[in-house]
Amino acid sequence: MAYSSNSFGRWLKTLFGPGDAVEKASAGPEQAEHERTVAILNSLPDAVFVVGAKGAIDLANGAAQELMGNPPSWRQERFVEMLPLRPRTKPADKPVNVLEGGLSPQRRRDLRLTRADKTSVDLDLSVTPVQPDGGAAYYIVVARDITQERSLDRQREEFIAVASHELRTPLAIMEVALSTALLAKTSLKPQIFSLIGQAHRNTVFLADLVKDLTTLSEAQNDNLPIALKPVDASALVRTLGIDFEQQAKAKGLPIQVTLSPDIPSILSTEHYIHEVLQNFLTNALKYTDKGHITLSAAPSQNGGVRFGVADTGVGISAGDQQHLFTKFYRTEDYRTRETGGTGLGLYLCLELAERLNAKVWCESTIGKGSTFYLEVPPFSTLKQDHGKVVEAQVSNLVDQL
Amino acid sequence: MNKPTGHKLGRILLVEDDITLAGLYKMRMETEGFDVKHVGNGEEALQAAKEYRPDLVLLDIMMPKLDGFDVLDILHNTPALKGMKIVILSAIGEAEEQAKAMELGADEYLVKSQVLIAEVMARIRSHLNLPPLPEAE
Repeated sequence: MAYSSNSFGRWLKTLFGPGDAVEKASAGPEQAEHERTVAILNSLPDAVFVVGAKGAIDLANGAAQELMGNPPSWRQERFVEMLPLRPRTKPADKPVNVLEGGLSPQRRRDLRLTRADKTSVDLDLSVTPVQPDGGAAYYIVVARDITQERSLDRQREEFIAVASHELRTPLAIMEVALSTALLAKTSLKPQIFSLIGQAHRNTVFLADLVKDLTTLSEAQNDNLPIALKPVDASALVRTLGIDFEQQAKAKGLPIQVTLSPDIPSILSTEHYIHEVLQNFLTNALKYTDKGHITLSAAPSQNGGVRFGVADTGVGISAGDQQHLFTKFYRTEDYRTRETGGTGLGLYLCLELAERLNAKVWCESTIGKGSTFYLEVPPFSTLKQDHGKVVEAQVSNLVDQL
Repeated sequence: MNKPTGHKLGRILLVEDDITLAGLYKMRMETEGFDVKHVGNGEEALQAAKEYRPDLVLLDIMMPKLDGFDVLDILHNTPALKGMKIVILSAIGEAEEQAKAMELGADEYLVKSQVLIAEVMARIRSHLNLPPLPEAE
């Protein structure tokens, strides 16, 4: 959708107005207003360009001129040539023409500018087409330097990836050794058995922490594409019910699976949904001593699927419910205080849900039990990944043909 | 601890380049009644699969010489080894790698330290159609 705001268009036109430099405004209050606006634009840290319908630059603020390498002349030069942008991952490609999108606004975070002196800058770019009433369309292009931000992201991702890979083998060694030692219970002194037991429980805790941190880092990484595939919600819920049956039986809790007959098909990332529901189920088992656990899936109002995990456990106070999805939150109530968890489980659920453009929440009454919900839209994606939805829809259709 | 009971329960080929971890897995699997052969790289794994004829291969991914994906691909496409189960046990946890292994014909993908050894043993029993061990107290 393009801007059609008449006043905005007129304002821009008087300011920089197509063709030659800034239109001379008559002296007086208008002149002062005009100078102030130009000063504001020039003081912005983001580069702002106004580009005519034919791709020639009408205006570049201070940051934009700097981004182009302060060329001696830029007015009416072609934007694509003055700012050659290529996908970061394909530096040998032809420069991308970001104005090609016609009258649809665009947002791109995958482009890199490489200047003549070989220096390069990663950009977050937004292109907003403006269509003044009765006038020719033009584009406002705003570019932000995200080189440093991306480099920090990369370092963080790399650290977590390397750390988790490197931690897994020693953790596995500790876990297998301690668990195997515990098999010899009858030949161990009770005190020694208890000490090894403590070491084993904490090794498992550490392994859980590494797992949660890795998944969290994956969920928070916006640059990681999300793989959208048709998800069979009913099959997913049935499998989870079977997976948790043993653990639930060990606590004397039956798991009931309730499936609506009219569950729609959704495009999403199954292992994220699985991870969230698994967290809900683990909590339900931890905080329920008698009664039962119900795992359900039903259509949601927005055409997606609402998953639910209901228990008849201790319940959560209204005060605690507000903070449940916060990192490392510990409930105030001793009855519901988590002892064995990493404190990241529900926070992770929230982050994964956001990644899927889904919602998580909880309804609970102390002493009666809690229900945790995950509502997944028909197409799971962040707004900025909109193109991917279309791609996934198309490939899904092709698969069906 | 129980004494090893020979290969009554089945033969397992353990492909793992970390000697310490391999020693522990071997001890645990033998304790639970399996016959275990250990090799430390992909090339030896191919050889051992043909000679030892395991019922199940517990296969690491990151290994010298031939990596786990190559081994998996070859073993899965060897008609003489049809019916042999292949379970990946790797420190790599990325969904993409897991999907790749499953496409290449793995029966299951387990991530080291994220799946406890008791569960690894339960999965092995299940793949070999053995009844689950009675619940530990």
